[in-house]
Amino acid sequence: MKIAIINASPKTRNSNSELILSDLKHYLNDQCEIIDTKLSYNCAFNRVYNEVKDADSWLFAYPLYVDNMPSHLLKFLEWLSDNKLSTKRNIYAICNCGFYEGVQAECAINVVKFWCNKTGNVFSGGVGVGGGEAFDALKSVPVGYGPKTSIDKALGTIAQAIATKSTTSSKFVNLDYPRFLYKIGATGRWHKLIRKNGGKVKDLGRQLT
Amino acid sequence: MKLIITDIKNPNFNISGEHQIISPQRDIKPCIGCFACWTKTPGECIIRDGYNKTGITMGKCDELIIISECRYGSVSSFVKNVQDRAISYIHPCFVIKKGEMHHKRRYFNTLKLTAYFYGNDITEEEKENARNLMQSNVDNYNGELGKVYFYNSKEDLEGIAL
Repeated sequence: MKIAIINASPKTRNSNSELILSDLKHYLNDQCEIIDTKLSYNCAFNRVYNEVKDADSWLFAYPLYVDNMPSHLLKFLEWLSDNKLSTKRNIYAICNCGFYEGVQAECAINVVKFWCNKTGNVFSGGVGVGGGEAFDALKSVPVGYGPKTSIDKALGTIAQAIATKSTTSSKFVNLDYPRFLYKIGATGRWHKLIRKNGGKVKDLGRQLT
Repeated sequence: MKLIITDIKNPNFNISGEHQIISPQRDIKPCIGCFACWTKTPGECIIRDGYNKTGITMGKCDELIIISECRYGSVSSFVKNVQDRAISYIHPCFVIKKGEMHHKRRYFNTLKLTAYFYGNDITEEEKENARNLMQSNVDNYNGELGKVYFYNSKEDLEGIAL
């Protein structure tokens, strides 16, 4: 059993998708052969396809951008479909959102599902992960514990489905951490980033004409 | 002003009033996920390919019209690319609205979003997803959702009154 894990964050490194995939791989353990690949914004589709074409199953991991998947991933799916390059695989999806509520990734997971329906692949389950911005701060928390408990449980369930090439229902999960504290943390992160770039907090809301 | 974002290269629409059209007249670069449009050059994308000021244009509009092929219950990758490159229209920080976390406003205009999807094999499930996506977009744009239309082909949109 070969699973191709396609990290489709536009970022070339240090993505939240990468951190979430690290927890997923903990559950996959030695149950299947993993082909690890990146589909960042500048990747050639041919190269990515050649890397993953021999896998029995594919898993796409991506962030929620404008309530949907990032455009470069959508373009990759269109390219595969238009060139009739992928059929009959089990397809899994993990979408992480900056919003607290994992359910906000539902439309973005559905896009993968409908792509499967159009291309003859088998959509085999998805996870919508809320609170993705916290994952960097939770790097030292052991898998399955603390604020990641519910998210990691859902990752464990989809890992089991991947390992057995079976289908599971999609799950939408939040951090086990209060929403108001997550919101404060996220605000603090943006304040820190703009200051680091030499700006002021009020510049975050700058209006241009 | 009306802003029309479409994946039709040479659109032939009957548009009244002040408007701007964004269509695939030139190549668009993908969003690189750097968030510079929020934290380095707030309000504007740093990729200078002619699509970097869409967020600013959205701040001047009262109508946003999306005309796109429906791909798997989504807008097409071109339209999504334009949307990704325009996240500077909104503020990075969060607010709670309708019981959910969404983005804070940067501008104080209210966009009315109308969408025209086309495609010859759009399923009912895909239509529902496309409608839900448009609703989620307006929730984050702090706008209002107008009608969401579905057409069987791009040709059916020829000369449409906007």
